Amino acid sequence: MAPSDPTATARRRARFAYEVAHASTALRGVALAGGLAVLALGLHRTSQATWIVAGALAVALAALGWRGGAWRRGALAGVIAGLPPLIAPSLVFALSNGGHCAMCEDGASLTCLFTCLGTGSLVGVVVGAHAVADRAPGPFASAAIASAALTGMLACGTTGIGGALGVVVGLMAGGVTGWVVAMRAAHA
Amino acid sequence: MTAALDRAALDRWMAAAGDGDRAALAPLFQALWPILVRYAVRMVGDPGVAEDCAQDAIVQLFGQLEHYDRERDALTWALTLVTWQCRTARRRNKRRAGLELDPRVPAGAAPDPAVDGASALEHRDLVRAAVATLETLGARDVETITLAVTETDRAAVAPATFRKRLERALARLRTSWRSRHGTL
Repeated sequence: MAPSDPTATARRRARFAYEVAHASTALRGVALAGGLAVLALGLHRTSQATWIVAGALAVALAALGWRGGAWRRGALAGVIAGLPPLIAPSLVFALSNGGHCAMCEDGASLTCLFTCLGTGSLVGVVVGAHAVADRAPGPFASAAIASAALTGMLACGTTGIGGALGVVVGLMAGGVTGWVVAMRAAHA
Repeated sequence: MTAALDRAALDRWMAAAGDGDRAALAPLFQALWPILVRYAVRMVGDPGVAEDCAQDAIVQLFGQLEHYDRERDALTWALTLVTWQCRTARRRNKRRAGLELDPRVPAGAAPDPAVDGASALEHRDLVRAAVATLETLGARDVETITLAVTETDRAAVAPATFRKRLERALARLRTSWRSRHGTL
C-alpha cells in the first residue's frame, strides 16, 4: 500500500478539527435551547406552539453556532436579549393576577400583548445598538433578532399569534430604532 | 528561497476562518503548512517527526481558530504551537529512550497517562508563556525572528544587517524570558 501524502492527511485532519470545533458549538446551542425550553415550561402554560418554537430555536442555535463568527455572536446575544420577553409575561401575571391569566387560554390578552411588545422593543433597541458595534453588523443583527424572537416566543407564542406578533414586531421595531440611533451617534 | 510571505493576508485568512468563512481555510492551510514543516524540521531534525509535529500543530490551530484574537499576529501563534509540539516530541523521545535504557521497564510498556496529562498541561502553560514573552518584544524583533525561522525572502535587508538584527532580537527574547521565568 502506498504511503499517504502527509500534506493531504494534515489538510484533512485540520479541516476535521475545524468542523469538530464548530459542531461542538452547535451542540452547545442545542443544549442551550433545551435549557430555555425547560425554563419556559416551568414559567408558562405548555402548548403545541411551545414545542414547535423550542424545536425551531434548537435548529437555529445549532445552525448559527455551526456557522460561527458574527452569526454565532449574534445568536448568543439574541438568547440573552430574549430572556426578558421570556420571563416578563409570567412576572406581569404574577404581580397582577396572582400568577393566573384566565383569558390566556383563549388567546393573547392585551396585557400579554403589551408585555411582549414592550420587552421586545426594549431589548430590540439594545440589540440594534450593539449590532452596529460588531465587525459584521448585518449577520450579527439577523442572528440576534432571530434567536431573540424565538426565545421570547417560548413565552409569548404560547398565548397565540397575538403574543408571537407582539414580540417579533417589538424586536424588529426596537432593533431598527437602536441601529439607526447608534449609526447616527457613530457618525455624529 | 520561498516567495515573500504576505503576513497581512495570513492574518486576514485566519480572522476570516475564525469567523466561520470556510473559503479561507484552503489558502490559510497552503500558506501555513510549508512554513510549519520547515520550522519543525529545523527544530527536531528528523523530517518524519517534524511532519508529525507540524501536523499536530496545524490540527490544534484549526481546532482553535474560533478563538483567534485578531489583535495578535497569526504567524507568531502558529509558530508558537509548532514550537511546543516539537518540544513535546523531543521530551517524549527522551523519555522513551530513558525507558528503553531502564531495565526495570518491560519492552513495549504503555506510557503513564498521568504523565501525559501533566505534559499536556505543561504544554499549554508553555505556549502561553512563549506567546506572552514574544509579545513583549518590538514589532521589528518579532518580524526578524519570524523571517529567520520561516526562511522568507529577506532580500530587502543586507545579510550582515539581518544577522545583527537577529542576534539582538534573540538576546532581547532571552532577557525577556529570563526576567519572567528565570531560566531558558
